[in-house]
Amino acid sequence: MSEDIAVAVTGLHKRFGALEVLKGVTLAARTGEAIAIIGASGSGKSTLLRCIPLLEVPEEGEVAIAGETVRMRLRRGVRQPAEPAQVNRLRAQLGFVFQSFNLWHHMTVLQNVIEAPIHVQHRPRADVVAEAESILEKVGMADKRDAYPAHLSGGQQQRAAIARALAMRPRALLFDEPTSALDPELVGEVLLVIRDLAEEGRTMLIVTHEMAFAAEVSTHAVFLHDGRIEEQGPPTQIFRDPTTDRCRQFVQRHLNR
Amino acid sequence: MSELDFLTDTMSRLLTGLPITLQLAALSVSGGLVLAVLMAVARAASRPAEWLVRGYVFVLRGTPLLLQIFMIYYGLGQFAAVRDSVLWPLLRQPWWCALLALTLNTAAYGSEIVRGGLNSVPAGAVEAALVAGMSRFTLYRRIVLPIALRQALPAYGNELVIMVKSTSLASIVTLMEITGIAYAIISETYRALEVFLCAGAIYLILNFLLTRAIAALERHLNPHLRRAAA
Repeated sequence: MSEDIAVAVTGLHKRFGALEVLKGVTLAARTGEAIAIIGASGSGKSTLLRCIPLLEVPEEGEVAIAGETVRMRLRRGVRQPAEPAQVNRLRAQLGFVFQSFNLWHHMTVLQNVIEAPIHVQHRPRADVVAEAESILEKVGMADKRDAYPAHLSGGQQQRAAIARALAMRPRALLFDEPTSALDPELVGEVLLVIRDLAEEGRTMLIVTHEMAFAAEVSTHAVFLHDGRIEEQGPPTQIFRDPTTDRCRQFVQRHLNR
Repeated sequence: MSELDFLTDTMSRLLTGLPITLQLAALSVSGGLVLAVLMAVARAASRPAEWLVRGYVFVLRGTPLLLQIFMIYYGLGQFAAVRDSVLWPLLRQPWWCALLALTLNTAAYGSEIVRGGLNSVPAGAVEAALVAGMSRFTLYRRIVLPIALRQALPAYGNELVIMVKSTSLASIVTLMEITGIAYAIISETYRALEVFLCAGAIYLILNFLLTRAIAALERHLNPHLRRAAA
């Protein structure tokens, strides 16, 4: 697999009990690409994104990060990563942003941002702090560096969470509905930050319901329906002129909201 | 001897037992906490460990501490294997027996308290640590245990207070800690009320200081629960 592929999944199948959420999804993000993943609730888009850092382990299919395929094994009939150390190493090359932020509440914003670079990547503390401060500056959170998450608005928490992801110097950023838990008036400030990152040419996969935003920042768009990729292509196609009826209906319904 | 002289004399005699009381409480509580965390984590990690810990907690929590002290002090010596073991020089001494019983007992309660703390750790905090590439060990050391122990602290404070009082049971195996000394004074003077009042006052002051310290620790560890400074 080419080094140019930041993240790739091949033939992913994921089941939760009797429910098959992913029915064979193949997708690759080249370095510099911003892929928007859209689809109705239950179409499997969040599950797809969560399979990449192995938060969900697919029953079939492969995940590759930075060209390295995650080795899997069967243990008592359950598929799992063969080497936890490999998974940890590959995860540290990704930045994942959750719908509900998931900041560590017992730490300040700055402590959240420097935690993994220091304790996972073992980079020198002084360097990490300096870099964290410039990242916080970038996401407009410099003045909140010593605040605790509980004292911040949702939009501020999410921007801190994005800073935490950036501090890992990730090969790719994964956004799992980053604005879905926010009050409407706070959505804009978070989208602004993500847009800046897209303009820097960062590799991103974004699961989102914000169609106008997705159309604007993505270089490639994927429409998921019922656990399969129903349609994919350049954003001009997916958001303006979809070829499948389902995608057309879905996009129209959401753009007109 | 005036009434006041008797009381000050009693107090000063009782206070000679304070070091033993404090040693028993401090050592059993710290040893018990380590065991409690290990058991709570092991219990969450594996099925066989879970059953082992559940059995341990069932027995240690379901029987009187007094009986546990008796069993260790009087009972262990019945076994030749124990008498021949390298631990016998320790296990024949009441101080070590009391310490062992207190530690094992508080570990059982403590593991339940820590388990509650572990259960309260938000799944999202764990996922955020996992996607950052944390190993299991780092995850527990940096994220899970700091959150769990903060959650457990108020309940653990109760356990600490109970343990300070439980050290008085060590008097029953001849240890001259505060309660043991109180007994001795009463058998000389037959003035049970005054002596026990003095002993009770010492425990009361100890626990007052302890609860203050726990409250201060809680405040120190939980700046995120206070109102924002700015």
